[in-house]
Amino acid sequence: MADADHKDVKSGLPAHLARLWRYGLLLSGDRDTAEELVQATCLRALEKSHQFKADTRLDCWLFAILGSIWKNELRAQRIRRGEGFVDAESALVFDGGKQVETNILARQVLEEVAALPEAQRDTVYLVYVEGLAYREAAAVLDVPIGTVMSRLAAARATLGRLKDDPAEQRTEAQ
Amino acid sequence: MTTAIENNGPTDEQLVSYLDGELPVPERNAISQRLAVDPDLLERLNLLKKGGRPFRDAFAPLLEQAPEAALQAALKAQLKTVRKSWTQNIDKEVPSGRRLPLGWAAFAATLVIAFCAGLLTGTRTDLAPVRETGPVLSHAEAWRQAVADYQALYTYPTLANQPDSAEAHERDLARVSRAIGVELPLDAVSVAPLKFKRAQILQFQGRPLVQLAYLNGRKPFAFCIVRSNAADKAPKLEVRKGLTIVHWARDDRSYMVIGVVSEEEANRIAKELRARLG
Repeated sequence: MADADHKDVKSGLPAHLARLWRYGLLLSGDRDTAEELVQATCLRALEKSHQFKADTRLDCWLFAILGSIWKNELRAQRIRRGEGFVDAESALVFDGGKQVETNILARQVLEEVAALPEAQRDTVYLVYVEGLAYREAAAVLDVPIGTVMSRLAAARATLGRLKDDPAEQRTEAQ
Repeated sequence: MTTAIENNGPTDEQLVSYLDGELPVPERNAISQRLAVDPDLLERLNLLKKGGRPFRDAFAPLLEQAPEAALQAALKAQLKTVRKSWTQNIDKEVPSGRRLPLGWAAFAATLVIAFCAGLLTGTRTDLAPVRETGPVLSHAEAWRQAVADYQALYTYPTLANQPDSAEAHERDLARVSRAIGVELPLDAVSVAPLKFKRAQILQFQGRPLVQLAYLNGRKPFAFCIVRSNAADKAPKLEVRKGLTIVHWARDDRSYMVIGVVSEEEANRIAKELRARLG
């Protein structure tokens, strides 16, 4: 077991923890759960390290593991415990009750992404935030590449129909 | 895809691929040309374009908010214990039929456990953080060493008086097959000139280890299987305690043949077993 692939996973993990946390935050809408997801992902990754092929992208492999743990394990658990409502928006924008300092436009984007349906939000994040190619995102999400495309198209169409001037939107809301 | 663009017009999926630079050149050119003459298409494209945002920049501050120190500390703690938990996870899948053979064989079996205990004090679980270099008994090697230590005790008299009843052999093999989850029919495991004598269910680090004992003329020989977390591995030759070994891994099990045989013979027997056991 002390072979190159295991070493790759073990030595590569520390560099990806923050990004894994951010992905966990996006998926679960909760900062504590995000931490839990990172821990569970690390453990799973170390256990399955012999399945990781050296010279492939470790981050993609880790994202896939995290997503799988969320969707197949933790999410169902939370729903059973009556915590099903995932308030993704506030999790991205607030940190323990304190509004995170960020410029208005950035906050707008976070809110808009958080408001997207789950599958679109996930795909938008992987392709447009993490910069994965369609093919890579499809592998992480375990969906056909056509599904990645239609989710992105749907997300863009939704966001495109929102009023493009944030100032205009706020004025209207008042 | 080019045909679709020409005949039915690009889909939104194709348009978003176009925007994201994911279209191959021929399709991309086809759309570019089409955009120049199709205002409806242009409007659709512009809607999708308007759906773009500075996503990456907007999410960047979140990276800084990650509880980096806590995450790194948790990972460090996991690395210390991961070897232990790794074997424990395997135990969860193991059937609870851990059996010590009866009679005189039980003595031999307790020796295996003693050897394993001796190995355990020297394995990684008790050492300081994993060394990156230098010879350390890996988990995979530990079981092979344990088997070699045990097999080194075997002599001709150990097995000579074992009755040669095909019925008894089949029963034996059925029992160990169930323990290890691998079909082991008598004719499959009887590779000439080996004579199958007896099968045992032993254990190694809490997992069932089945041992098929043979006589090769007057020399003992064994074929062992243990459940493991190993990735599939092609057969490899090695020598331990003066015994020739060929080992491989498949479908979450590690296999080995071991005996006083030439390398060619060991390779031949291993190849035959692999072929017969599918």
